[in-house]
Amino acid sequence: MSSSIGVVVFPGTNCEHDVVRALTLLGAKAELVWHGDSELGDRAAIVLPGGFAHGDYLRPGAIARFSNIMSSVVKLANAGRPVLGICNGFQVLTEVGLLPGALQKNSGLRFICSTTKLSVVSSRSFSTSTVEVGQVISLPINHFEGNYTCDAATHRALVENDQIVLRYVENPNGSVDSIAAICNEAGNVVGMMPHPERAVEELLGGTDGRSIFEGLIAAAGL
Amino acid sequence: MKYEAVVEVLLKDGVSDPEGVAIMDAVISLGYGSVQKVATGKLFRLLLQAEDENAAADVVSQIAEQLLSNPVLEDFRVRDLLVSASA
Repeated sequence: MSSSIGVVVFPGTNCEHDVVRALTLLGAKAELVWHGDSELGDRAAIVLPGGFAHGDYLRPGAIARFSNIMSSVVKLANAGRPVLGICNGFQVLTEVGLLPGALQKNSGLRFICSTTKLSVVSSRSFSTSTVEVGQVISLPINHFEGNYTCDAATHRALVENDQIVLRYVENPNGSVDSIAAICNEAGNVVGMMPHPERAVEELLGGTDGRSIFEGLIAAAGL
Repeated sequence: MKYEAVVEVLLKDGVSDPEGVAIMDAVISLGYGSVQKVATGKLFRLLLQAEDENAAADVVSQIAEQLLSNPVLEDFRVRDLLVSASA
């Protein structure tokens, strides 16, 4: 098994160093992977960090989906290794079809940048494996297109399969069922709008993001 | 033959359109009280080579379906498909 977590960098990604720093702080080895590379190498897990991949042109994640590296990311996800998409990374995961639904413009006509309270709905996926269901954690959000949208059948499937990972305590952006994070059916692909990498040190306002990365590191076997 | 296609992408009915709502507010501020709704969307113009009109329509529809629109949120329509006069 590989000893490192790959953090994918698209042109316009801007949270990659924060993610590497958070993972390193928690004792894991993390390395940046360029989107134009066709091989991921033998990574134990992958993070798609936040930012504005390919300028968010067309739709957030719409162009990133066609970057060379994405076919390797899909292969690794289908092989069962953990994949975490944060903010723009979540948008990429929906566009590439690893997660259902889509992220739409916020309903309140505002770019939102604030710390939000989130309720842990499921501890089935790696991302919340170290916290209790029902626990409330605080993480920063920072997005204009974080309004999770899906049709009724998809929503029903998300609920029935226990795929809703986090819900906003107070819905800030119009998301269906206050959804802030979901996982795929297998539980090894997680997308979340909140930024756990910005909440790993007391000095920067909180450490609730640590649990997300601790779960990822454990699932990666590192 | 060279063709010019115009593809229109609009949000599906029932999908919220906050940008449309904001523009609607401005339309009312302009004094046009008769307007009831503004919907936003995107328009793409593609120039392509194809054997005939059907082949061109197929290619444009595939691109619109796979890339230009997101089926969760949007519907697309190939609005115009004309023989292009441009070189």
